[in-house]
Amino acid sequence: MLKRSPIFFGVAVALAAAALQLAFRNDIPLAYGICTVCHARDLFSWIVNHLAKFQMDSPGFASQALVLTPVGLVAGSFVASKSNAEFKLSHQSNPLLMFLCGALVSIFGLVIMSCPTRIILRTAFGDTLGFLAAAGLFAGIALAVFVMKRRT
Amino acid sequence: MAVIISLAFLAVGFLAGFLGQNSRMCFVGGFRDFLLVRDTALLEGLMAFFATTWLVVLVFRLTGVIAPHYPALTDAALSAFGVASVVGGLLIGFVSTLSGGCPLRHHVLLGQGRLDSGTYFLGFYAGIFIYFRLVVFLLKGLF
Repeated sequence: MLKRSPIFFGVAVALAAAALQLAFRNDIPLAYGICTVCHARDLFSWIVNHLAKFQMDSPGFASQALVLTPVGLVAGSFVASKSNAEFKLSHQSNPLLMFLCGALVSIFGLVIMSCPTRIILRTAFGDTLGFLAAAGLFAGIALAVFVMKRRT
Repeated sequence: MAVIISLAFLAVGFLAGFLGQNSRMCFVGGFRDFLLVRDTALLEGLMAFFATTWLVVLVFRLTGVIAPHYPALTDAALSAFGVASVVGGLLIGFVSTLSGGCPLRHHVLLGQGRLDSGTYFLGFYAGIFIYFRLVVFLLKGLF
């Protein structure tokens, strides 16, 4: 089935992100169509800046617009899993370890201003820093696989 | 205008979440599966994403709508931010692989009811807060 294909995901999401980039090219930074770390940061800083008077950095447009990509991702997945009858409350890994992993990924992600998705997006935009980050990303994955193989 | 931008981001997120749940797409999972079990399904998705964006950006450049301008690779690699990009990318890849997927994959897992991905996001947003309260000051002057 087409919607089950990762290739279809790649093409469709890349086109959607590019369409968004094109439509709002004067407002949003380059290669910003889809990102989890940056958009979570924008959403979080919008809420923090409006509730508390503690300012957090984010691109200029995000002080007005609420960046709802994280909400859309969870909602889209929820709808899809309900329609596929795959929705199931479950629990597999150590929660403390997952908390730590989440914190580390968002901190490192904010330092280089990319999640893995945006690293690929930036590399495709021709961003040399994105290319360096992609090289690091693949090295990191290889290192983790090496560690996982050694432990089992 | 702000409302239109918000809705556009919501729509892209919804599409990515919907297709991501169906295809189990993960941006670190492609290379991981290839190294572990020589399964290329997710890697093909990653390549399709890269190739499509690359082609669209080529059209953007040729028509002049968006003309991204970036430093040369040697300049980027020798800058402090270039070194940080490699190290940061490496750590993201390492931690993401151990946690079972990239942040996008964890959004999808949370949507289909995985509660440990929920704790992942408690940590994720705590990390954003820690970054702005602490890390940003430690890095000041470095870049």
